[in-house]
Amino acid sequence: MSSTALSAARAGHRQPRDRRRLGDNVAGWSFAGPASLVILGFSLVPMAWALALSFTDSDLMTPGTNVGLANYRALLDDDVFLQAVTNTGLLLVLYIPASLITGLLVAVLLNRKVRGIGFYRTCFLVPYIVSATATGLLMGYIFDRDFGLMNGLFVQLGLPVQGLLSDPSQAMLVLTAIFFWTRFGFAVVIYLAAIQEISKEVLEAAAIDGASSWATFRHVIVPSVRPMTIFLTVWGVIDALQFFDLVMTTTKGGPANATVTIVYYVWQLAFTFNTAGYGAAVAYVLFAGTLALIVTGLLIARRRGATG
Amino acid sequence: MLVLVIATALIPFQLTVIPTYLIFSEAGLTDTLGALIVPSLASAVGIYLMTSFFQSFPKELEEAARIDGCSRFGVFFRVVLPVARPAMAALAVITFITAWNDLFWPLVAINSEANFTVQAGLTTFQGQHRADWPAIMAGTVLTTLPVLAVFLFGQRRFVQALTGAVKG
Repeated sequence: MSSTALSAARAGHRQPRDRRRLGDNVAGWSFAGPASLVILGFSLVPMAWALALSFTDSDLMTPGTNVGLANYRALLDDDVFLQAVTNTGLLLVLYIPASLITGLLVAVLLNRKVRGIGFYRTCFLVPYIVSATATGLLMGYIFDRDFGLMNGLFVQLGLPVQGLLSDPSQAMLVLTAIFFWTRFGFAVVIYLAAIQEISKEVLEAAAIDGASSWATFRHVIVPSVRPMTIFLTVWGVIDALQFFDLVMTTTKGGPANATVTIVYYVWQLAFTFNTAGYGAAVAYVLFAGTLALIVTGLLIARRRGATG
Repeated sequence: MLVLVIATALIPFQLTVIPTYLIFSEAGLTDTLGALIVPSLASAVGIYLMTSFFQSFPKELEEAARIDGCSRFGVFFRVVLPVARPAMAALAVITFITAWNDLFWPLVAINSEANFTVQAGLTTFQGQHRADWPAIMAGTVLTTLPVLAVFLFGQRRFVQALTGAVKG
């Protein structure tokens, strides 16, 4: 047989399989194509567009002119931007550890055979699914300086009336507490599922070795839920950096910009101050910051995982 | 491709919101419900959820159906999809809650009160009736009830999907 005939025979042999693979590919893309198009069309395209916008003085109405790096340079002297970064940073520093620690402790408490345990679990998730708008409106009522329930309680206890959401030095702390209240149920559920997967043998072995409940918690439970801790941290960072709805429905960034978060500032710049180009620049700085935080976080977690 | 799609979940919406708004205003679709519906037709989280389900689906079952003469689409609609119902229910619950509770995008995309979603509508109570607390409370309760009902109904699936996605 000549070599051409051989290769033709091979090709002929291969053909049905190739056609089947082609069929699989066509079927696969017709399933995955439309959704991928929507997602990429509304993420990658706008992302590139936002980068282009951040070098212009666009106001959303008229096509802006190119201003080079002026937007990014202006950021350095922008007091509101610095305030927004500080506020968002404060939220991150307080919220993430608080939600992780409380989430894990509550999950441990819930992980036992108690009557009506399902009811308690539901209770912890309800704040998570109620909209931030509703939460914000109700909390605005509770933490109102003049007729809120919180100050009513303080008065009852003989404590001085607090400024709460009207006090620039307290407003962000109050918001952080509200945000924590709405979110930590998520950590509880994730941790609870992980704790329930820890094998009984391990826990029994710890008990037989005479480990105290604290030692069991510290050396058995905490290490076994580590993947969840990493996930919750990353999730929490993303969540906290996008803190908007509660600000919008309680303080609207006030008093005196004390509760402006980066995201809220982006919204203000683009849609109320008509400086979309500058807003896009702020958004890009936020994005770079998020990415840097998450990547360093994951690197540290991996290195620790490797050595410990 | 899958990684690319899922990575988009990490892009903050606030980064893409300005161009997304421009896309819809170029198309003359701002202040319509279409502007609210189109971007949320597919979500990276949803794709991730369903992918992790489909990957756990036994290949033998698909192959058996193919050998029995079922077409590729037939396999999907008659074999895989019926089994996928719980996963789809979970996704439906999550999608409902997200869409119902969203405030940011509706506030940006919609101007006229006729097209406001519930959350955007709720915020209008704030400006106009600053002291009208009974109305605000009633509005809050009414808009929370549907979400609560869906959540209680699909709670088990919701929790399974959340925890399953993390482990997956």
